[in-house]
Amino acid sequence: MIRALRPHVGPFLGLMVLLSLTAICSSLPIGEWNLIVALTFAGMKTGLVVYFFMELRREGALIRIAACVGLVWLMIMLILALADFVSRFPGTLME
Amino acid sequence: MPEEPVVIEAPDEQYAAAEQQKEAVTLGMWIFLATEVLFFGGLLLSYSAYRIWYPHDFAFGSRHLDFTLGTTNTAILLTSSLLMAGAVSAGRLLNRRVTVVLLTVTALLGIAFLCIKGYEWHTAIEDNFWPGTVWPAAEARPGGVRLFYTLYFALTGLHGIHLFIGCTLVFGTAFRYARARIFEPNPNYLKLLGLYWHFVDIVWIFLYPLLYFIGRSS
Repeated sequence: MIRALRPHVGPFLGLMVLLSLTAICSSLPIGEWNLIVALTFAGMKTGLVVYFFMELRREGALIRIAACVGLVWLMIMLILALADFVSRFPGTLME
Repeated sequence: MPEEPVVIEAPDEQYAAAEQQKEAVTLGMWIFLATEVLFFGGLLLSYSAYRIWYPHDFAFGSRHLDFTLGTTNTAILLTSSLLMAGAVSAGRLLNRRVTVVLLTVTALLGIAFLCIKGYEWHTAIEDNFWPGTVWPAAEARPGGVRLFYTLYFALTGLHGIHLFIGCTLVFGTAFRYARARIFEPNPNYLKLLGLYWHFVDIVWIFLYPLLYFIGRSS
């Protein structure tokens, strides 16, 4: 049991620290920065999960690229679509 | 870090080597997960657009969700991911007992998540937030709150279905391994099961701040 779990405990502790920070920072009165901070922590958690738990650190270039394309496609869709919304309604992106 | 012994087995006939088969199935799974990202992406785009249109209504809807339950559920899923990663390692170590135990607890944590989620849904439906129900406060908050809750039910529902599928697969695998006469787990299968489970975890990592955090600080 210990031998199977030991390599994964480090990333897990990192995840729990990031979760605590996410939860604490969510009530800070920093306005629109709340969303940016929360998404940054979510991105860092995703990085830990993908790199360690999903073993991307052991994969070759082909699989690393394949792992990135989902994110790239999503970003293309979100950025192009939201560029319109954000520029038409300035100042209403975040509370 | 000690490297786990990997089971060397003959590849299926269309592959030149076991290593090639492993890379092929891993690539296939990552491509599938990329399509899943876009599957959720459509809803996330609607969410973003409507949140820009109705920032105050989204904050109103979000404040009605239980922040503690959301945080607890995040911790549960992160823990389940740890155990899932451990189960993949234990399978490579050919340790049947640990593999079966870790898979079972992983699936149980998934069920615990779904139970808490179900309780949250129950509360939201009791408060008449279910789309299409007559809600007395609707006149004060036209449109936006309902859009938030429509997206809330759609996003968490879609995520819940994925998690339910994951629990079924993980339970089934644990059962199969526990019953097998000889324990010789297919390391590729366990790895792909892990990839799916971690992906579902990542979806929730993003849904958690997007659904529970709006207007918390104001």
